[in-house]
Amino acid sequence: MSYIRCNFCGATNLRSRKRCRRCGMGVEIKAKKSLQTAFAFLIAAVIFYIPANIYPILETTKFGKRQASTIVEGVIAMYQAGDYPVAFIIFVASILIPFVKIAALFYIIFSLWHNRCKRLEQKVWLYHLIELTGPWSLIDVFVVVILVALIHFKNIAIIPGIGATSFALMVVLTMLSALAIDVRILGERCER
Amino acid sequence: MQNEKDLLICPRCFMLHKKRSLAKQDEARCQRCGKVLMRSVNALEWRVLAFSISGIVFLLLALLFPLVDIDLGGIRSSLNMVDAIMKLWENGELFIALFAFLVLILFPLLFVGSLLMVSIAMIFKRKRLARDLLIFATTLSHWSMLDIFFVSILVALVKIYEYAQIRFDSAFIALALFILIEIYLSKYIRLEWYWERWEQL
Repeated sequence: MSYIRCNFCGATNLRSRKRCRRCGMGVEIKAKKSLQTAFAFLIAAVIFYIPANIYPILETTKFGKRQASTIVEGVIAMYQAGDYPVAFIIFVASILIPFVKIAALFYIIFSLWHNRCKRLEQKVWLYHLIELTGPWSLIDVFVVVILVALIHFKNIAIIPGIGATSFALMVVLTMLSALAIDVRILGERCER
Repeated sequence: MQNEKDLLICPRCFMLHKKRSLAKQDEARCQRCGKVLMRSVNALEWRVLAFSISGIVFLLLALLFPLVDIDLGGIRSSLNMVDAIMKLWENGELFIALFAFLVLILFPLLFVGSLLMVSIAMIFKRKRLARDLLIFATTLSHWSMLDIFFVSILVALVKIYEYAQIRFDSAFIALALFILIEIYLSKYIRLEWYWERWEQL
């Protein structure tokens, strides 16, 4: 192909250009830099994934009695209370999506690094799915923000735990990792 | 060789297409994967002007007034976004407070604000200014998260509806309307198509 798509504004550019003719951003594919940046963000995300799941996301103090719950405990509590739809949303948004996202990012980075061209379309589809669903994991963090603001009575206090901060950081880091991956590498190396 | 300006590469499957002029309300899809590549939006800059002004008004309403009121056994409290973030900050949750401030207040305001300025710059044919503003808006577009916050409100209410009486306040509707406008401005009209329009100025 003698043309290349600008990642920033979507303009079609001649391969020979260094900067996009329309928005002026760099259009060259820097595969090595892109994958290394994405990998670095991903490792940082994995590091924060651990405290995000071990430490409580929410600490409730009711009449002096402290109770802390992690993300997994929160989903179980919701399920036991019979709130199945919400338990399902939280399960998908805070347990399933982050896990699948981290695994998928590893897979995409690894297969790009090794120039694997199998299942090209599925990989591009997977990448766009990650980009789309990624930020929705933040639901749990925002729920904490809302509960902290709403519930502040004499006998009941709710405070966010270490888990909430780690979880938010983890989600932001996976978003940065996904943004760092240049999807054009897929089309570039594997175009028939 | 074709002129670059007349060509379009599919963002999903990278197939090269030749642009065609579209009739009103028409869409052009990728031949291979079916992704919408172009959509004709009549008088784009005027539409964006109207929608972004109303978006900013709704967002300000949503930020300044309470979203939800609850009554927990006679004790009342209400959810206000600015107060909620201030409270986190006072509680020492600096990172979450800062993060919430950025993705729930600052970035949405700047994003819709910059689209408003883009439309004005395009109407007055200030190409250079419009380009710089479009670069700014494109960078911000990933980091406005009020739609996620909206779903979070509903989830949070499900957690407490057994104990508390809940009443949706005026700002809740304003927030919902802002989100619809933001979706129209950044998903229905893709940012790429602002750039296409900009090119034709």
